[in-house]
Amino acid sequence: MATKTEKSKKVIDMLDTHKTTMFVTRNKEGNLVSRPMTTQKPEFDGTVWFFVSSDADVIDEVKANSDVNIAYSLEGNYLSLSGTASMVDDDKKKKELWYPELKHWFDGAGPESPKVKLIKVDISTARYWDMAQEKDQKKSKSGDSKTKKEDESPIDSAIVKY
Amino acid sequence: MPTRQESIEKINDMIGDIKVAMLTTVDGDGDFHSRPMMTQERQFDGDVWFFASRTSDKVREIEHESSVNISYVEGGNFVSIAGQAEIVSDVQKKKDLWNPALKVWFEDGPESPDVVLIHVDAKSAQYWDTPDGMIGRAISVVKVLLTGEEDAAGDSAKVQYK
Repeated sequence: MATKTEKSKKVIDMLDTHKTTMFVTRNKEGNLVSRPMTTQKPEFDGTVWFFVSSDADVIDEVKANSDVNIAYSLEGNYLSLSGTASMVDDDKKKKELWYPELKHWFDGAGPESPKVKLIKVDISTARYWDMAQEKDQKKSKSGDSKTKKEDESPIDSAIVKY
Repeated sequence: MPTRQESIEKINDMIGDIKVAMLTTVDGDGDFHSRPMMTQERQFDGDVWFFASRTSDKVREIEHESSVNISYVEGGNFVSIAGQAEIVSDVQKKKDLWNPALKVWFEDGPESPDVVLIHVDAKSAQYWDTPDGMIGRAISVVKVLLTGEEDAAGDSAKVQYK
C-alpha cells in the first residue's frame, strides 16, 4: 500500500508543469461548467496556480462560488483535485510563474499587465486513477505485490488529503 | 453560427472515439469531485448515459444535487458539457445500453439492482478546437445552448482567441 508521500508524489508527477486541465466552476445559472486551463509550476504542495485573462468568465464565477475542481486526463491517467479558488493580485508571484509562451494567450501582454490575472487554488482533496499501469501489468503478467490493489477495483486509485 | 443540429454533429465528431470522460459532481459539503467514466458507444443527441454502482459516491452526490459537468479531452480538443443528472434504474433501459465490456466493472450485469444509469440532460456545451494541434495558437471556442427550440442555438457565440 502506497504511503501518503508516495501518493502525493504521484499526484505531482501527473500534474507536472504546463499541463492542460479542465477547470470546473459553477456559473451564475448554477450549472457546472469547465474550460481548459494550463497549470503553472510543478511543485505541488496543495496549491495550484493558473493565469487567466481579466475578461474571462471564470473570474466572476470563482468570486461568486469559490468551490472548484481541476480534472486532468492523459493516456490512462486521471486526476481530480477538489479545492477553493481565489484571485491573487501579486505582481511578484505573476513574474515568478510567468514563462514567455504565455504571451500568445494575452495578446503579447506580460506578467505586469492588468489584463493578466492569477488564480490560486487551495486543494483539499486529490484523487488519482492510474489505468495505464493496469494495462502494463496485464502485458507483463507480473505478480508484483507492490502493485496489488487496495480493493476490488480494476485500477490503481488513491485519495490524498491536504 | 452553428445550429443546434450542427453543434451536436460537431460534438459527436469530437467525442466519438473518446472512451473515458471526466464527470464532475457536487458533494454534501459543496465540494466538486471528478472521476473518469466509461463512455457509451452511442451517438450524442443531447443526452449522455453512464453506468454506475448504486452505492457509489457519485450516485449519492447526484441525488443530492443534479448539476454536473462532463469533460472530454483528447489531443488538442476539449469538450465541456453542462447538464442536469438523474439516476435511472429502469431494467429495460439498462439492457438497451448495456455492452459486454461493462462486465469488468459490473459483473452482475444490467439486471442487478446495484447497477444504475446516470442520465445527463445536456443544457449547454462548449468546445475548443485546435486545428493544428498547437495549444497556445489559434483556438476556436464555440458555446452552444442545447435546450429548447432549434433556434435557441441562435444564442450561441463564437469567439476567436489568439
